[in-house]
Amino acid sequence: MNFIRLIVWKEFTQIRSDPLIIRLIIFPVVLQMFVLGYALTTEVKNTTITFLDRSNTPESVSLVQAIRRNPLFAFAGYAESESDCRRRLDRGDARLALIIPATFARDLSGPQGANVSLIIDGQDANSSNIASGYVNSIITGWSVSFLQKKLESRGLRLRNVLPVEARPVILYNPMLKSTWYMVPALAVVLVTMITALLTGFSIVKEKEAGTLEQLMVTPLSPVHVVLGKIIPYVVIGLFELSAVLAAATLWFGVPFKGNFLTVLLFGLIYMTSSIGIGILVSTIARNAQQVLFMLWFILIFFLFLSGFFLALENMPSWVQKLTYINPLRYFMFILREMFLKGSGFAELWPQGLAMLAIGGVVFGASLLTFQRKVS
Amino acid sequence: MPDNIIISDLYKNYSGEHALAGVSLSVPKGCLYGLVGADGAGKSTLLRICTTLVSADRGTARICGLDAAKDFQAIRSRIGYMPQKFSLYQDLSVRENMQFFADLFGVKPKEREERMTRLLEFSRLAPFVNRRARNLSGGMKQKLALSCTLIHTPEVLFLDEPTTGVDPVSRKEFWAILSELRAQGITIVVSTPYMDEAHLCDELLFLHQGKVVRQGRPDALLASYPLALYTVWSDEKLLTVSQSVTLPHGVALLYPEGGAIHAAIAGEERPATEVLSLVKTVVPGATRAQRTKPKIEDLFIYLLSEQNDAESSPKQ
Repeated sequence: MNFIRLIVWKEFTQIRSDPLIIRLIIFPVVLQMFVLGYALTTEVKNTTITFLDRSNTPESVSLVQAIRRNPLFAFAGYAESESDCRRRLDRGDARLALIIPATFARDLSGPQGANVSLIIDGQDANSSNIASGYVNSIITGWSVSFLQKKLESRGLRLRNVLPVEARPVILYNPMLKSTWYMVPALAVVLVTMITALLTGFSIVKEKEAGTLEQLMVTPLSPVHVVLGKIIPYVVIGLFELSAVLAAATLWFGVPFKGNFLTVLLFGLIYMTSSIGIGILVSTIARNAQQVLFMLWFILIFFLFLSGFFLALENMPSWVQKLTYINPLRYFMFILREMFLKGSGFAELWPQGLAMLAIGGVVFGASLLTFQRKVS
Repeated sequence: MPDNIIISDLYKNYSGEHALAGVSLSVPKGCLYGLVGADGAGKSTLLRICTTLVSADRGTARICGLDAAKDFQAIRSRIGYMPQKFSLYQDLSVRENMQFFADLFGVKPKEREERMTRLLEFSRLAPFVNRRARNLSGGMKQKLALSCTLIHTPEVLFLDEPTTGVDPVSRKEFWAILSELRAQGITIVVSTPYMDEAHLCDELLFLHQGKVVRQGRPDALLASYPLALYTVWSDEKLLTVSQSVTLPHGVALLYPEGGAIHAAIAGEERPATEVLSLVKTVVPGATRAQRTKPKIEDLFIYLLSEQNDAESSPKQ
């Protein structure tokens, strides 16, 4: 125990005397938190749209206005012809083009109804789909109110004609703000980066400097060295986690419904994995560049397969199975659930257990390799 | 006096290459023991086995009566090891480094302060006690490393080329410290590439390709030098060591030494003028020759050439 305390003291003294490390602990996290916190949005906003209104009747103008009034779209001017529409899409001035035919107003009262065509820039499949869905629902809304007026003129009420209407009740994130979903997950990414990298660097630094060998000719055992070295980074990791949670609630206004101590406990369990990976990598690597390269490689995998911005349910089933060994996946799920749903141990113990198992294996393996490599 | 280090028949291979091939030696208590040999001769490997960092393939190393392969924990608290590369914490201060190593070896706080004061004075590092190790000069770094290895008052010290890359004044100072330590009864095993330093040891061991070539007291070793050595002054500079193959009959070795040339003659001692005319056939600018006593460096060059000859001639 004295040995571990001694290494912890040494580690903190070294951190304190290295202004670069202190800056590395603070600035990237702050910067990423505040820039990415705003940038990470899955909402489709400001989609540019152009109109070709051949009808130019009160009806067609009212439809165009209905779309233009919606804040999800940015008006990109009126087109003069179909080829002008195409040109605007080619140039990237508009992502959508709505063409209203000359017969629009007449067809509205006709037996077939009226048609409009929507031309879509389909490069980014996902957001194009969402944007065209928005246009469709605005047109449907406009049609329904058009129908309502028509029915009212005949003394009928819409409610009697439309048999089914869905009334959504949105739980946990009623305003469907994607920051509420992304910022807690960002906390996981930042904590992973800081703990894995700092642990990895601090071990490989001793290897490069030859101090690790010097330590091995003292009564210290490799286990003392590892435990003594990671404690400071666990403390820093928990501190960063708390700071990021504070920023999420106070700055981004994400409601935090869970228990703070539970978050820290899950964080501690999670860090056995992130720190374990740091140790493992630094045991294999010979210098800091190698540590950086290996961790970058591993973390990219973990990040993309964590459900951070890509839904796991959409992945092929063999990839989905792979994600079960990704500790990031569990901690991200836990943090999101705790933030928005206020879940606790009762609901999240299976994820906690999975993290504990992964962490146990990774940490155990890292300790064993370290022991074998140095002695 | 009892032997503090007894090594018998050590073998160590690194990926098929012999690093050590049957090394035996013993070092009495309070002896300053020097390891000499070319780069790659096995000096560092020998030291790393003695300090329990590496285990031997065969043979035993007993340090303070303990087996290096089995009782490594006990050995580690009784020895001090200073590796070739400076390996203290560059971002800790002189005091912090010393404190850290003192605590690591369980030195009591009161005793720690006493020893630190003594070692700082001894190594003349006292004025720099709050300076970070990275800001020390090469010589000061080595003295700090030595102070850290001494903080737990080890019985045996292992030093791997402690003065490599250190300025001549600091080197002399460092060796003065070593002889003081020897006077205190500490056994010291030191490897060095500097032959003037080797001369300061009580006993020397010449290693070549993992084998012991010679061992003994420096004066006894020098007495065994089988050639007649002459210093030859010349207007011309000689740059490399030449061996008998390319030399006139009778001259075994010819090599630069300081500003002059050393010529080693096999067999009987000859008049200096005769040696001069022999040397003139290869170095026409030679002006004067004089008989000189060999030093450790001359012995080292002779031993190396002897080994090279043995390797290049076909085995019978």
